[in-house]
Amino acid sequence: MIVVDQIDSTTVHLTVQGRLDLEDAPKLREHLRDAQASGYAHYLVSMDGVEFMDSSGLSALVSGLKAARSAGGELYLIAPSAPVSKLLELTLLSQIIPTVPTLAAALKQRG
Amino acid sequence: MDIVKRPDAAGGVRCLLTGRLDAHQVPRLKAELDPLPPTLHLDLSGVTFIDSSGLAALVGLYKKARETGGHFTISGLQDAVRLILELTGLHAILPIVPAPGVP
Amino acid sequence: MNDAEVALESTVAALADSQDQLVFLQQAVGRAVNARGVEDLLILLEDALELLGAEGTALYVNGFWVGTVPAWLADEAPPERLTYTLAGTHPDAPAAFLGVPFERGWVAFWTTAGTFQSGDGRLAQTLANLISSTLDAIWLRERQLQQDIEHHDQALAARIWRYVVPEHLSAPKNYQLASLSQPALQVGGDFHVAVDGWVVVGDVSGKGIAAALFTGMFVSALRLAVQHADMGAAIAGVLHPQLESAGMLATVVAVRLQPNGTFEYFNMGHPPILVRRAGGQIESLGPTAPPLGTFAFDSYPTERGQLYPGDMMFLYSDGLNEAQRLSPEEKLELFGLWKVRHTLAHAAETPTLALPHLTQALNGWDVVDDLTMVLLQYVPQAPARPEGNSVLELHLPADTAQLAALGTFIRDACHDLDQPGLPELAVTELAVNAIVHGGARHLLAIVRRVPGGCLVTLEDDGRAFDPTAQEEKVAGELREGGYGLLIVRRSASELHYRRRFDWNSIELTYLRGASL
Repeated sequence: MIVVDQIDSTTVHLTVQGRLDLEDAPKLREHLRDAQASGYAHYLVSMDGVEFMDSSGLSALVSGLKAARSAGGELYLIAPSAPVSKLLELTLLSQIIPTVPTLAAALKQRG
Repeated sequence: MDIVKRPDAAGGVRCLLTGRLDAHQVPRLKAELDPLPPTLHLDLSGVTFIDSSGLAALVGLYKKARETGGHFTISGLQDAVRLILELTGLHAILPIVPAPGVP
Repeated sequence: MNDAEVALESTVAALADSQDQLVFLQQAVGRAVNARGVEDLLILLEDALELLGAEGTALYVNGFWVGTVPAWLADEAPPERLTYTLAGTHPDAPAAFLGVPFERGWVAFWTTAGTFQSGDGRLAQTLANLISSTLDAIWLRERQLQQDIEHHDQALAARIWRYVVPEHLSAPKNYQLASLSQPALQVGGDFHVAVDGWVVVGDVSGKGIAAALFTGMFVSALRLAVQHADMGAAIAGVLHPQLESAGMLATVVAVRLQPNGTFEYFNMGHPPILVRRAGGQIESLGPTAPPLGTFAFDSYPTERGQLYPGDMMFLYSDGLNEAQRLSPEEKLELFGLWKVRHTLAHAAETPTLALPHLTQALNGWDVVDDLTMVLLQYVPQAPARPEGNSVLELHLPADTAQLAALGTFIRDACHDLDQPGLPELAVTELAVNAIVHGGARHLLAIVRRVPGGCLVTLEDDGRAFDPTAQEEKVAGELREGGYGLLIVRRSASELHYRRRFDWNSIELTYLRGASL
């Protein structure tokens, strides 16, 4: 399940719960695509409630990151759950996707 | 190294060793034979290599059997075992018997 | 005409009508059976216009009008039951109207001249029922077609995959290998390949034809990439752009194993390669780069390592660590990397015996993804029974678990001495001494074969220890220790010791034709 909040004219906050796998990852991908189409450049993605993620979820996150950067912004991962952190470390994407502990921290990073 | 223990007809323990009896395997052998059965026969016909640690283990078993009034014998010597016994002069001292059932 | 005649004419007309209707219905049913889509159903309705005395007809299905409809009809709500009146008022509304609902929508007929009778109503109702059941049939047929396509896709993907991914891998020189390749029901994108000393395991995300095709591209590209100095960069160059534009990912581990046990590897976001040392410890070789399809780089430097005799390397796909089951509390559990390490640590000695241990550990777990496992063990052979003069070397960690490999090396290298067991025993004694009393961490065994015999040297990096300077204990004494030196001295014709830098070096001479 994904909840989308508009923070301001440039920034959108997505809260993801449950599983991010072959079935559910496309929804995240779609939301990020919609955000890009609507002109948002900063995507803040809360993932403390994600109980499982595989390569399809990873793929959706990475395309969101690339979309954000090509729009001059950034994607921040907020408080990823243990399964998500594990997968990011195993794929070295922990060194590429910026991660912060809270929404406030993400807003601060965004500047 | 494989260690197979069986009770024999006379109520003692017959132990068949297969493989290498070297410094790496000795701790296992010692563990398997602790406590020492009152009557123990070691069949070494499957032992392909033995070094001084393996030899020390055999000597230790022999000494312990003597201390506790037990009975300890060895049979089935192959080339590797004969070699080390000759080099150390123990071939005349350790309790070597013909393999049980072999004339 | 009098009343009776009017009545008769009406009856005859009605009878004629119903006959026409029957004939029409036959045709209508025939048309319905062959309908492929809702457009065909509209045609069916249009065929009925003449029979109904209507000028126009429209079909509303699942919230949409099929085709264009007049403005006065567009916003008309579906009626609850057969009706001859419009719900709303419109300036352009026709004189006569007939609306019939069915499960998924409704049918409308109208005319500007004339009226609709109950007979027309019955025909319209029949048509509406016919349309309703035809829509069900169309929907079911589409679903079946979809399933057929899916089955066809899967069958095709399975063929592509099996064609491209080898079933058996050939082991690199001096290694023993056992492997398992088990695709999930919906075949996906796991693959394993052995080429030119490289062993590669990969996993393309997703399933079906797309994944199978990428797997094919990978396997073909690998055979060419192995010839490049930077194998990872060659693969990335070919495959990353394709994967990225398809929105897919691929993880890859590749290790190149040399006959002397040295190896190099790269790991693009794949589960870690595990190395089980002969002493039982497990080492983990993690990612060196992210998965292909995420970000690519210009170069993919490899990490290096060394395998010693008996060490076992394990490459696998996430079908293993992501196998799942429901815990007693109905929570989803994953097999996990910790269990993989644990199972490997306790598995049997050799790849062929250890592989079943690994597959059996999955009993009771659902493997939901493709499963690939490759076990490799370094088992160096001395150049088969060396003949003539040569120098042979073996590096080993100072661990009693290596004694078997050390012994085999010496025995093979000295095979043509009268008693190869002598140098084997002597070197073993020296090695045990260095390990247990000298605190050595590394051993080096060297055999120089010369016409007269063999010069056998053991070097170790432990504390300085000169066996020639030790007091020898007496033979023939029933003691538990102290026989090592005696054995060494008695076995060889000559014994020399040197201390070189931080290493002990002991050289033993064994002459051909000499015996104890």
